[in-house]
Amino acid sequence: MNRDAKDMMNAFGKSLANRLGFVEEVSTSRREFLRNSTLLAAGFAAAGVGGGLVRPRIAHAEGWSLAEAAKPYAGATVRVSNLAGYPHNDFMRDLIPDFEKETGIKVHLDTVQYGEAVGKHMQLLATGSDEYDLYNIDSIWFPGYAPYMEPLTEFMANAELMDPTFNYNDLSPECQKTNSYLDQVYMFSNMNTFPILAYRKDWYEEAGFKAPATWKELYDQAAHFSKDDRYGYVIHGQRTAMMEMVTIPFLSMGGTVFDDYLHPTFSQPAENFEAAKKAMQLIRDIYQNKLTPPGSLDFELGEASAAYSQGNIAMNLNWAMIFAVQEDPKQSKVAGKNAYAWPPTGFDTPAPNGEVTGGYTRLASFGLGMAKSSANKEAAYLFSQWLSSPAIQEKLLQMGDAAPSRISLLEKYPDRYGHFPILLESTKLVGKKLWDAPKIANERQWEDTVAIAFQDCMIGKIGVDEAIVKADKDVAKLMRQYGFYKGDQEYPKSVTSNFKGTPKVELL
Amino acid sequence: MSGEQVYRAPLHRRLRPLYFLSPTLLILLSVTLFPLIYSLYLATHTVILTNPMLSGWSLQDNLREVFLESPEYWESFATTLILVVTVVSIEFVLGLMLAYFFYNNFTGRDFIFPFFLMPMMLTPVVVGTIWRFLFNGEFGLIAGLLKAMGVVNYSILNEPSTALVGIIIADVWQWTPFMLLLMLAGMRALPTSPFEAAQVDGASRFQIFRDIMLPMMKPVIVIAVLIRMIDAFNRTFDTIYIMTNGGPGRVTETLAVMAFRSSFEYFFMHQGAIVALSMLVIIIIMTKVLGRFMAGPRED
Repeated sequence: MNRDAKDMMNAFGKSLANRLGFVEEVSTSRREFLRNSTLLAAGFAAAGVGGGLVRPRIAHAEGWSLAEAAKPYAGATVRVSNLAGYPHNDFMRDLIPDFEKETGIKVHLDTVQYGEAVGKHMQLLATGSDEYDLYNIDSIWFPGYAPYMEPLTEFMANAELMDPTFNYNDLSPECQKTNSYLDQVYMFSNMNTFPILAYRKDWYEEAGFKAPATWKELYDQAAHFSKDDRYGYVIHGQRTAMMEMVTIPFLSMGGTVFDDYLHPTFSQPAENFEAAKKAMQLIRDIYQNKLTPPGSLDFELGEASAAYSQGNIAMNLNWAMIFAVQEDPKQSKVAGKNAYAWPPTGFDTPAPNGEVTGGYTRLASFGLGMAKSSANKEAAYLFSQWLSSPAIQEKLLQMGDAAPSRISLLEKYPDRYGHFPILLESTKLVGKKLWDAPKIANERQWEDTVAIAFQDCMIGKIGVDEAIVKADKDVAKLMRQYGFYKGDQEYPKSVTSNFKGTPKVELL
Repeated sequence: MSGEQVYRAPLHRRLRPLYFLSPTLLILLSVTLFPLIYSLYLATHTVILTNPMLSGWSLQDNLREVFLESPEYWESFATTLILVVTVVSIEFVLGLMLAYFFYNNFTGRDFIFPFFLMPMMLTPVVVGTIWRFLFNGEFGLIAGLLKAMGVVNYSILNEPSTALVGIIIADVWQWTPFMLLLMLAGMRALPTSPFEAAQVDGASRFQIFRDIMLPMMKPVIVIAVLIRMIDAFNRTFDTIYIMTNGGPGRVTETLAVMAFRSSFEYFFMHQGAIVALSMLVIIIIMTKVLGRFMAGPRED
């Protein structure tokens, strides 16, 4: 790790500490750190301040043009590490020559598979590499990236760079909430995605069913359709998806994942335990009673969508961005045969208006984050701003993008895809439907830990009760290893996502 | 020696071989010694990429976390051991049988032999992908065969009791040809006179194989088993990563997968380094034990 990267990390640590009035000198000994301070907690508490909606200062210059703004940076090359397999990212390739022609700035795109992206990105960033200026990031993982990223706020306040027609407030507020951290905007959302229930309109009409309002209804409908080589539902059972498979019904039944002290709460208090048991049992029954295709324990969103597109599955609870594939007749046998609905709420009684405090269906927003180590920050900012601008986002939507973040586009094209009315509704129901997951830097690890316990339950290795308690115990253990709990620090709700106010539980 | 003048070359001449070897030595040191030293540094400090504020010496904490507080390490250790012992045993037996088969002359031998070597020439990622598709419960060939036999809705890699079996099948398919190649080379290098003498004495083919050929092949067998053991210990990573990613649950998570996951998915670099170094120690011990066990008492 080079000196610049270390300096950068220390600077980040100190800024967190200073922000909350903690020590000036950051302890570097782990033992000392754990013994003496709650600095890490302070960092996340500070992060909580940024967990809400940030209102950045936005410059406004008359007569601004991209060509003029880019003149000082003509000839620079902006290098982007993009995620593979997303329609938005595939479509943008065709538009980049326009940007290059207008600005004289070259754009070099590399793609990396989603499953490998965080690992590869973190290795580059932690070693201070300047290989990429911009990183395509799923906001779920952003807290881990934060120490190495440059906020966009200063660029937005710079009249020479800020496009006055950008209309920042047109970006979904929920998305921009997830793209902000420590009072700073880090990314412009160019993908607004969360799990929505897609179901076979033709089958439902034939059976006289409506979209399920509760999870029990979903199960019963899935059982009804599961016959003659047909399946009622498709599980995404891979470890990277398993946690949210269970968490979505769990949250919708009133559960909370952490209390205000970041103590895991699947098994405590009693009402959470009951909800978790029902959610886990439901998903396990779907799997063990074969209401989902064999092998779906190994499915991520792409495999689930591909299976649904074969035409023998009734329901697919999947991320909005993937729906472009199943609505494309070249790739799908079910194009035009789908209807879309919010996922159910409650086990056998729906939540009032289908709304749950703090949300239940998980939000992810993708954008381009700028590396602190970038040597072309202004050029990179101009590219990122151009990509998320209203005009380019509209072109991408016309090309087939199924997860736009701009409210004006969702209003202008309500019939472009069947799920667009749901995307639009989400922008107006802040905190009622979409779950902005806890902002924890070791996100991947705690999710994987929960996923392992839940997968063990799915395959019958352990029982439902045991899986839920195991998830809590194992998460608590790794959070301790990470440095939490020493100061018994209370965290803001925007970090814990404990909007339901679950009281402090005993640490297992 | 007394009274004899021993010629000593001048220092620059004695250092000359070192001078010529230095580029190779430098490259070797930089690609082997440096990573090892850096791994030792990681193992003795706290290095979490997503939490750069935690740092400093923490060997005891790290060892406690991995070996005492983490049943996952011992689960992965057991999985690795089962995998290594099973695949190496099966590959050894099959490789030996196939080598004996190809040792004999028969029509078409030279034509079919290369087909047996093909799996070995594929990269483990390709092998993993092929077998993942074959085992797919929805449209895989093996699921189709099971369906024809009346076993419906079965996905080998999704079931905890058979997921590791799926990995073992893929590994045996890929690496048995390696054993075959080494064993066949060993058989063909043996002198023919002991076999001719045994035939004259009336020994059966099985007796010749068991009492003459196998003992004479002992050095080749030791080398082949050692290479495969080390390889299976470290390099089954790619196949597992593609086929099951360590799942379902943690049923197929070997130490190599655990080291990767700790370092590059959880970013706990120190834990990954400790797991990797523990693998190095285990391999060294295995090599010594196996080497002594198979070589037998030293003959002067």
